[in-house]
Amino acid sequence: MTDLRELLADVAGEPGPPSRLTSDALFAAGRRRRARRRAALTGALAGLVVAVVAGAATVVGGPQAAPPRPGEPPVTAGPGATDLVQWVGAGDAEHVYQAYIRCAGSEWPWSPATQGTAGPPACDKSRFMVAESADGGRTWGALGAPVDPEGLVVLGPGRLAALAQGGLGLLVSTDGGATWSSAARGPDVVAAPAGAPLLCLADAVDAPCTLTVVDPVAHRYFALAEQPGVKVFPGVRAAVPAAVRDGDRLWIGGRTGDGRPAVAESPDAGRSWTVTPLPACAAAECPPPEVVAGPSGVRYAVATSPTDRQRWAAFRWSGPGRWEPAGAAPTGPVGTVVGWGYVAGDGRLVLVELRRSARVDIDRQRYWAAPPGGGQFVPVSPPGLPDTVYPVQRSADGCYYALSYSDRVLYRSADGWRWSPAGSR
Amino acid sequence: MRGDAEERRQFGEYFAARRDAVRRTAYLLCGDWHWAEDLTQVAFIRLADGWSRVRDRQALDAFVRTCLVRAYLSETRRLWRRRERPYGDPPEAVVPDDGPEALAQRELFARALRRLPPRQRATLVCRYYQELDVAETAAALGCSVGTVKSQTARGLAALRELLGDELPGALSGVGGR
Repeated sequence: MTDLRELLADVAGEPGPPSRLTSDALFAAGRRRRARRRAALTGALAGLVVAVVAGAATVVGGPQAAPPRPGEPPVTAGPGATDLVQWVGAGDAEHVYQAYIRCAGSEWPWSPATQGTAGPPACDKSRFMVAESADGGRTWGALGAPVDPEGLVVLGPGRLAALAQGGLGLLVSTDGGATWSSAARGPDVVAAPAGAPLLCLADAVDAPCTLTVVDPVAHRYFALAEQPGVKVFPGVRAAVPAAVRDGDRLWIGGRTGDGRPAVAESPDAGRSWTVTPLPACAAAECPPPEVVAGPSGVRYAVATSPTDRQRWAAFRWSGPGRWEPAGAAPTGPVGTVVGWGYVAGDGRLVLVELRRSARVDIDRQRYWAAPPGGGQFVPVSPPGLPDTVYPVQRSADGCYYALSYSDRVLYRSADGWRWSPAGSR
Repeated sequence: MRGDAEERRQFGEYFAARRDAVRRTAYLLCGDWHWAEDLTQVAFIRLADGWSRVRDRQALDAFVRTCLVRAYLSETRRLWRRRERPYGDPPEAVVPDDGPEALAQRELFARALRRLPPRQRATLVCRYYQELDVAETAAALGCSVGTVKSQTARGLAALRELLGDELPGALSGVGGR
């Protein structure tokens, strides 16, 4: 067995659990998707006709377009026992959002010990429903209208954006995810208005994304006329919270035209940019630097070590165009370092290592932080934070949230170090 | 309504014939049976959405493959990146008639495949499992022919490095172009 085709076929022929997919359910889901897509297209065309007739030239905060309502009506009940949380985002310390998918049959949490080895229940991952909490995750409101996003982003309290699957464009919500509307692209803007969130939108899978300002109230988004001098390839038509913002100062990690890892920085809300290359791995396989925001102007850039792809390289912003090494990576063995971290309330960068194993039932994590003032990163154990969480979210006013993927419990922290379940406050 | 019922029947026939093959390709891409199930679900939902636009059987396979590969690449970048794996080992319902050496070899190769970046893995699966040419692979991935060539070369080089001397000759004679 020395042929690559045979090796691949051999792996593909491994025994797997029985499939729970049924033709009827998939056909029905496909037809729902088609209906949503057609409704969105009809609305977009209607909006385009209105815009052409009116000759409207909209600016941020300007006249509001007539947005289509592509979604289905909100679900009137809150999350049930078969609704599975897949994502969390925070607008501020009190306004938190969770996205749910609906699963058939068994209740969560699922475990092979209690429900056999046939696998977890079938879940419809083409319909996400958002619920809002106005008390920091203690209680939750009704589920919103289903959407099928590649990514969800919280733009502020009550305001969310979703990049819809299947070329449906950008959807926005101003009622905490209860209803969704299509957003249309407006003319380019020279600068990001004060406080406006920035996303990075790509037109195609292989295209670099465009730094974009979103105005969810006007149902509009606007590309910055002067794009950063680095290219960011999200890999999908993704909407990600791209640029880290501190007043008018913006940062975004990416690659220069010749492929070097770098951070682009703007002191004037995107009117002009300077690019600072970082001493990090430049190979195509290495992800570009990611800028992580913390309190009090603390900013870090995290990339891959130029000498060892199993190690990270962390830098702390020390002034315009200046990035200083922020602690040394450990010399011992580490697993996969996830491309995310967070900055705790004391300004320390916490990085996450994903510990994969084929022989355990779930991937677990280990957290690393350098001591205050620098030095080598060492393992840390923030009290109360499970080793099974999706990326830690930091709200604009400095509250921390994390969703555990093992038991789907939302955890909350005031400083990024001491954690407790959000529902137990 | 009658047309809808007929389309439902045709879709059901195609689904019954191709589900397992699509699911196995998905498993090669992601290395996790439950994730493979999700990817298969996404691909067939998109097929049902576009069923009336794609009738030719050959085109159906290409359509589903494109949906599958792009859904996989998209999932690797989703905000809710997958971390959970409900259980690590599949149930031992069906065990291929392999000796321990073949099992070890398969496990070794599967581990190496899982360590490749998603785009390289998808490229190798399209080229050497689906046996697509460069242009067909580029169409499935939504990228240029040049990107397919470079990703193929990088993927093969990475596999050789990961496998080292463990599978001598496994990739000999396999080119990056």
